[in-house]
Amino acid sequence: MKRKLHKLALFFLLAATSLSAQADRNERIRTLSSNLMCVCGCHQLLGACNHFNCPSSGPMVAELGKHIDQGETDDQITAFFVDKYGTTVLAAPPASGFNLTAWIMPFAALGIGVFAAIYFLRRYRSQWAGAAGTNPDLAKYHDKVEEELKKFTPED
Amino acid sequence: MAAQLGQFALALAWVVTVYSVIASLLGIRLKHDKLIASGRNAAIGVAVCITTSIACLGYLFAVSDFSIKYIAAHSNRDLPFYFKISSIWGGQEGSLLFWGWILTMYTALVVIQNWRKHSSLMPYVTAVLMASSLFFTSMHLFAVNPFNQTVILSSQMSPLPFVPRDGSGLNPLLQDPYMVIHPPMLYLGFVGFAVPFAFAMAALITKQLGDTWIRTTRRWTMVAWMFLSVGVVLGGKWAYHELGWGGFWAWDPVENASLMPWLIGTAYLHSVMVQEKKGMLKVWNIVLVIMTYIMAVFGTFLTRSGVVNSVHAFAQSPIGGYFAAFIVVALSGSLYLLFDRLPYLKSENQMESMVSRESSFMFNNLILLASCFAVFWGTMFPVISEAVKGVKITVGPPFFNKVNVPIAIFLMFLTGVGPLLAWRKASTNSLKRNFLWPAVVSLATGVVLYVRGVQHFYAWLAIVMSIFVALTIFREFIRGARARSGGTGENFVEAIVNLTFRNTRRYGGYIIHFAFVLMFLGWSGQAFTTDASADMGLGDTLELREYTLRMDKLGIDDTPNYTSDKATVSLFAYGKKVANLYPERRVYKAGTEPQPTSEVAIYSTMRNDMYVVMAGATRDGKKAVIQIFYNPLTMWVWIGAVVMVIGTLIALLPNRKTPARKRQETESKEETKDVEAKVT
Repeated sequence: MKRKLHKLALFFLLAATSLSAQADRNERIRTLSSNLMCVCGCHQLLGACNHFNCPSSGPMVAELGKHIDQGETDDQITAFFVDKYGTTVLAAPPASGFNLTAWIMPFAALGIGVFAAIYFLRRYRSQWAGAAGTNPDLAKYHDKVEEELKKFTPED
Repeated sequence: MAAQLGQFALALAWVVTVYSVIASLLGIRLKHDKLIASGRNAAIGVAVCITTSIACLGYLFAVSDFSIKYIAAHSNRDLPFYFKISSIWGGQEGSLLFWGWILTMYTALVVIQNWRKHSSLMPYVTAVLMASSLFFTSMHLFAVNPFNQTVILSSQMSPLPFVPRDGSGLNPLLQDPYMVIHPPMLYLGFVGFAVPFAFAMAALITKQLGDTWIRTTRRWTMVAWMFLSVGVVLGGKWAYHELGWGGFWAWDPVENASLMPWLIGTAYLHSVMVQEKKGMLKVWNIVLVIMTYIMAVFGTFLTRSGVVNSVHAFAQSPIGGYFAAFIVVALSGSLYLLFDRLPYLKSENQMESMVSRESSFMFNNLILLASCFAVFWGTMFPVISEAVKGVKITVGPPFFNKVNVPIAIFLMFLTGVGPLLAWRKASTNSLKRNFLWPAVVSLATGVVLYVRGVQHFYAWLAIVMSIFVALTIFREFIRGARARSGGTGENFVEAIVNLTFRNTRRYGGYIIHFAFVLMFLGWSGQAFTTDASADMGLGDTLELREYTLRMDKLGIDDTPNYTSDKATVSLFAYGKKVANLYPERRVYKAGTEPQPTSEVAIYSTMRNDMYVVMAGATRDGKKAVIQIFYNPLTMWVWIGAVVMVIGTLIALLPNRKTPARKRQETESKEETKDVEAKVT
């Protein structure tokens, strides 16, 4: 009885391991194929290309599976695809060399924009404060002006 | 006969357009009112000519006159009538004529609507719009004429008129109901931005740089923005239905081309409020108007030139050069004017605090522009890489998602925060009052969602942010309605309705923001898409999450336009049948080669879509190759789009006046009359 139970437990463990390995494999195929392009000319991701009789996507996905089964890492598999099909097979430019500019520029532009906005805002604020502060006749009316402005500032 | 009439109308339109530009400019220079009026009338005449021309093209499609090359290339006898009409914009020549037609119609409308109200600006507005129109009319006439005859080459290689028995048919991907309406919406949006651009140029030329031009074009801009938004969403809906890959946005260059002017146009709609209320950001607004229009033209350039590869590039030809030249001329001319008039564009007020409505609008603008730049940069980077390094690369969805998703989430945050900040300076107390409980509730919901398995970081953050923004909007409505019902005795619903219609711009804006919350939720759902596929014979089942698909029937459908392998499948949710679905794989007959497409079948609920694609049949014909996608929350994208249109329409309405205000206005009018009577 005990041996039978052991066998049953071993069977479930193996089945669970095999299912989990299969799920891992599918997940890796999904991840890798969403970072590669189909080379049939459809301009779609490998994972998204499902048009009938596509000469490329089926063999490419099968190739992906084969390399995963051989125990290769994601980087090795990606490198293999780049060697075979060229850099256009990558769905996004690698973050190195000249291609790094593709990744940096949008955030650099945003950073410069934010920096410039804050700089001008501060400069204007100091001018504004300076102008009010230098004239003592105006300064004593400052609070009153603030109060009045609040009444007239639009709500929407 | 119709072809000759269409061609003649095009030629006449070109001559009249040239006359309109010259008459308007000369009339201003010579201060000759009749010449100016003649330029205006000519602009209306151009609209009549181009309308005649496009009507002729429509007629030629309707009667399948294949002696015309464009008709032969984009239609066939068995094409359904409504697709024959939509074929007008199904190819290069027709779609550019359609662009030009909308531009001339807009021009005629603007001229009729504003001539008396803005007599000093209008001659320049007419000249600028007609100059744009001249570019398109020239294209129609000299580069991509839709009325060219079908010819074959004789043995001496000279062209001979030829009438094929049938046409090549409309691209099957365009034979979709959404394609009937998507391009008109998009073009109404793209071209609509020509109006604020023309007014801005007129304001720069005449140095009338107050907010008159902005107030005059506010509704035009909103209408253009609404059409463009609807066009972009319908494009997504079309892709979802027609391309069969399970999603609705793939960051394709042509999709990006429609998104870029939308992003800048959205920035402009916000920053313009700062100029209206505070007399600030005057230069910035002109820059945004210029960029929006240029981006709209650039979008058409991208779609039509084939400068970048795209799944949407239906009609490519060497017209890119003409567009590039137009963009350079329009951009340099408008920037020259802008720099020349900088002294007239001084701000009337200054930013006083980092935490204020105006600064939040400024940051909103920065984020929108950064997003636009990221899209532009990613779209053009393959061209840049090839030019600089000689290396071809691809910039696809992983790039755009990584760069734009964090930017979009931050933008969503500002959507919640910005409208609730006070003008000039927000106090700490008001910040606490407005944001404390929305922040607490959204974070608490976020914790619950995380525990329940929503662990994709960006999707989680997007949902939390959406909840935060929705709560801030609800709070505004509730607060306003309570205050109103306290003062007037109206019940809560009445108070909300009256509140909205007494300040349409503000509350319409909130509704638009809420629409984006809904769309954001729909987009977040895409992070949790799953799929499965199988070769299915009769009675076979395929399971995905709570759904089971069963193959009931495999058949062949034969229509005059196409044949199709059609499957009938039953869909069960938790074991209970919920729908019959009919995915198809069609092969269109027209043309020299069969053209296959997938017609997906979709079962939509508010929770998720079941998206069924029939990729084809197995070799023996006994099984169908079926792929199914489980797409959570997709319906909210479309619901959001409808809410957005409702919000925009409300924002376009004039404010309903209170009785006291009406009385005040009547009294003021009577007073003016009295004064006038005394003076006379």
